[in-house]
Order: sequence, then C-alpha cells, then structure tokens
Amino acid sequence: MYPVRASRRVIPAATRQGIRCLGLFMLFGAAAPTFAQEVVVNPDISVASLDVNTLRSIFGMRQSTWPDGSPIRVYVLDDGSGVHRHFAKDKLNIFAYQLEQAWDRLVFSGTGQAPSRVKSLDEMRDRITATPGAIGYLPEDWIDKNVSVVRVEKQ
Amino acid sequence: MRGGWPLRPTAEGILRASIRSMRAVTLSNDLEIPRPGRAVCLALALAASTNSRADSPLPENFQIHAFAAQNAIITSANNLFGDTDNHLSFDFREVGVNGSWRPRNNILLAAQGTYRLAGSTDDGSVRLDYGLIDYAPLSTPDYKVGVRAGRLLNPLGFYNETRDVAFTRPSILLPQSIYFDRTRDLALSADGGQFYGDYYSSLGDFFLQAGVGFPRAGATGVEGALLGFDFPGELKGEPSFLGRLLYERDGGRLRLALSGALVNLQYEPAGVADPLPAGDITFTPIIFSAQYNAEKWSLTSEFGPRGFSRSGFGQAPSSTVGESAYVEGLYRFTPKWEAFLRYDVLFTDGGDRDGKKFQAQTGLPNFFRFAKDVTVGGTWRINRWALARAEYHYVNGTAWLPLEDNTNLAEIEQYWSVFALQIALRY
Repeated sequence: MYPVRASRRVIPAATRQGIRCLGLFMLFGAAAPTFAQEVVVNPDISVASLDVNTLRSIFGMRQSTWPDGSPIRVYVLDDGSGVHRHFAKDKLNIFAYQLEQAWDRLVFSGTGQAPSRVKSLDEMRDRITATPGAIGYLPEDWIDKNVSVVRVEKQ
Repeated sequence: MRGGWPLRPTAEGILRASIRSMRAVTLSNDLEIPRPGRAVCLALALAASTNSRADSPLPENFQIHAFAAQNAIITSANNLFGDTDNHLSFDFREVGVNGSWRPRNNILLAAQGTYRLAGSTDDGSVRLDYGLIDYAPLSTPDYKVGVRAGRLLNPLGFYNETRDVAFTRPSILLPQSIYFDRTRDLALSADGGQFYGDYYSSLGDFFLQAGVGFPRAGATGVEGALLGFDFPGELKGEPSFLGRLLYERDGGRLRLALSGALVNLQYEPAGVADPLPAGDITFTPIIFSAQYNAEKWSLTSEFGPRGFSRSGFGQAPSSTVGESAYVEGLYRFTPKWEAFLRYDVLFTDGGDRDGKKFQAQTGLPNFFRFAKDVTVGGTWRINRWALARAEYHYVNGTAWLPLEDNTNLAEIEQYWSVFALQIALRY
C-alpha cells in the first residue's frame, strides 16, 4: 500500500514564476481550466504512492497516522478556490461539498478534527515543506524539490 | 393496546401529558444538565476569536470551533418555537462552542457547550452537549477501532449528532418526523460509553458504533414534552442502548445507515402528594437512512418505525408504533446556491394513522396524531463562515407541533404553514 518513493520533480525557478501568475489568474477566473494537481507530502515521508481510498480517508480526516506511526497533517486550500474543487473531484473522486460536510460532521460531533487551511499555493508549499508528516496538493508547476509527489493509484 | 391512554379527568396538565407521551416519537435521552454559565461560553467564544489558525498561539493539535444561528419564523396558525402565529418571532436561536485536543495521536478530548432558545420548548440555558475522551488503540489504513466515554452524541440517522449546526444540514428545520426538536436534548446525547469500528475496503467504508448510556431525561423541557407537565417527581434515564451501522461507497457518493435504540426512562414520584404515580417509558426507534450524492444534486430518505410503550402512571400499560418518513431532493445551482424539496410524514400511531380511534377515545382532534409536511427552501452559502436560508412548509396535522407553545388546545389548527428565515455562522 505504501511503495517507497522513486523520484522527485524539479521545476526551474523562472518557469515557476511565470506559472504562478497564471495560477493566480486561474484561482479567480471561474471558467479557466486548472492545472493537473499532484498530491504532495513533506520530503520526510517515505511514501511514493497511495490508493484513492486511503487518500480519501486521509483528506476526510479519518486516518491520522502514517505507516511509521507519525501523525498526518492535512493541508487544504480554502474551499472557495477552484484548485481545491478540482483536486477533490480529480484526485479523490468526490465533490468538495462532501469533504466539507465530512469535516463538519467530525468537528461538530467531537469525533475528529478539521484539516489546516492555507490561503495560497505559496503557503501550501511552505507548510508542506516545513511540517513533518504534512500532506497537501499543488498544481504540477508549483512543485519544487522541497516537497515530494505521491502517485495516486486509481482502483 | 393501541392508541388509547385513558385520560385522568382531573388536571389539564395530565391531559396534555398523555397526548404528549403518545405523540412522543422521539429518539433517545438526559441525565442532568451542567449549567456552567454563560460566562464560560463567552470566554470560549473570546478564545475562539483569537484563535486564528495561521498564527495561533495554540498548538496545532488543539482546535476551537463555534456555530451560531438566528432564525425568524412566522406561521399562518399555531405557534412554533415562539409566538409565531401571524407574527414574526425571533425566539429561536442557538450558539455553540466546542474545543478538541489531540494530546497523542490516538487520543482525542472534545467538549461542546451550547446555548439554545426555542420558544417555550427550550429556555435558553447553557448546557454541555458532549464532553468525551476517545481512545483508538488500533488505526491502520484498513481499519480503526476505538472506544469513547463521557457525554456522547447519539449516532441516529444522518443528522442527529450535528442537528444544531446549520452548515451540516440542508434546511432550517430538520424533518420533524425523525428529528423531533421538542425533545432535542434527550435525543442528542447520553452519558456512557461507546465502541466504534471503522473498516475501509474497496467495496466501501463501514462505520459501526454501539453504545450504552444513561439518557439525559432531566434536561430542559424533556419532562414537559414527555409527561406534559413538570411534575414534582423526577424523570430519570435508565441504562439504554444505541447503535448505528453506516456504509459509504465511493467516498460518500452512496450512504446507507441503519440506526436503532432502546431507551429506558423511569418516573419517580416525589412522595404521595405527587399527582403522577411512578411509571416507565421505553422508546425503540429504528431508522433506515439512504442518500445519493451527485455533483449537482443529492437525494435523501430516512424512515422507520418508532416504538413507544409505557407502563405505570396509574394506568393500563400501552404501546404504540409510530411511523416516520421523509424523502428530499436537493439541487446545487452553484457551489453557493442550493434548493430543496421535501415531503415529511409522521404518524404517531401506525395502527391509527388518521387519528380517528384517538379522537373517539379522547375527544381530541384526530389531526393531533399525524403531520404531513411539504417543504421547499433554499440556501445561500455566502462563504465558509456564513449562510442564509429561507424555507416554506405547508403542514396538514400537528403531530410534532410543540404544545408548550400552544397551551390553548382549542386554538390549534389542522392546516397551517410556516415561513422561516435563518442566518448562520460558524468558526
């Protein structure tokens, strides 16, 4: 279930800068297409791929530990963003409103906690880089060597 | 014996008592309500307001959340959670604050205090809705097993555990046939222990919860709702059982649940002067729940029989099986705008759906024993912190109408409508 990582992606800084402007435009432009998202984790996490069920458990805040027993820290973009909606639909194969409802059920029934919210893709990358056990998602061209990409196995 | 609970001819209170008891198709339970005082709530709210997640002084494994809702209701007849009969009432509001702390990865501590005012059915006191410790010794990618202890929310149907949190439900009023607001505290939580097991598989995810506990029979309004009057004696929760098996396929695209409870209450009179002799009440609700969630629409239905029996109280034992069901369609025009249409029906006694036997036995109107509610409404999810709602109900019958708000039984009308507005916030 947790094959060990093989490789990381590295994007040149200049390309990142250009893409970032475009990404911002797309955050606020409703009809614009969105980059493919990748699931990213803190580089300390030695997990190269996750199946979609496990990923849904993690982002649904039901699974709280990595295989080595360390705590999972989940980061999501504030749900008004198209990036988050696309991530939920494309990578988790569920709808953003379902995630939102699942978190509310946990939080307001005392049976779980909500994920940490970030306001921008920059903050997402910084938090993933800095937080042990962190998991989140980034558009392909936002990814640098300080985060690791996890392959999603469809079932 | 079905339907009839012979009336004691003396006190009007007892008359109302019997009606309410028979109508009490409620779910579960109360012990005693801690009243920490509003200062505590305020302090928590202040703490919450300073807890900005990005640069919080609190550790990341500590979270504070809050919700609040203010409702405005007007009815064409009958009073619902306030003086609403052709009058816009604001006497229905709720504020809750909860905190949770994960000191270790497999331990969670959580508690929620709530202020609630609902016309004459709830007095605006602050109560502890839940306060629990959760220990999950086994947690793998495939399953999770744990126990909870303390004051625990009752897992009944899809909405009971978060029934007050506007963001978790589709409408201002939940379908009253299942989520009876008159006995909200009793249904909401109980003091005891619970086992839970989650199993995640390629076929879907299974969530089992089973618990034993003491119902909150002493909570605000419960004695009034079940016995019709706050008698001198004490209504106490006896050991009760409750469980739910929930199945979710494709991350919740399809959700199915079966919930059931055996809830025992006992009335102990306060000496020989108490007009109401000792008695026992048992509820045995069963709820089947089904929901399909597509991107633009959701279809939800819940239904089930609700057993209600009583013995003692100086009368012959009786038992009835109520019936409740609703079906609801919800459509999301955009992520911010949604609308729903719902049909909700309650029969207090499945063996006397039209209430005619009841009418013959008691002389009271037959429409006290059923309620058929067509509701249409919409929600504007303004942002993650706020929403606004409006909804309209057309109701035939008054089986779930709170009598606390309608003390003159002669004025209660069979056909009535409700228009309600809501502003809700969360943190």
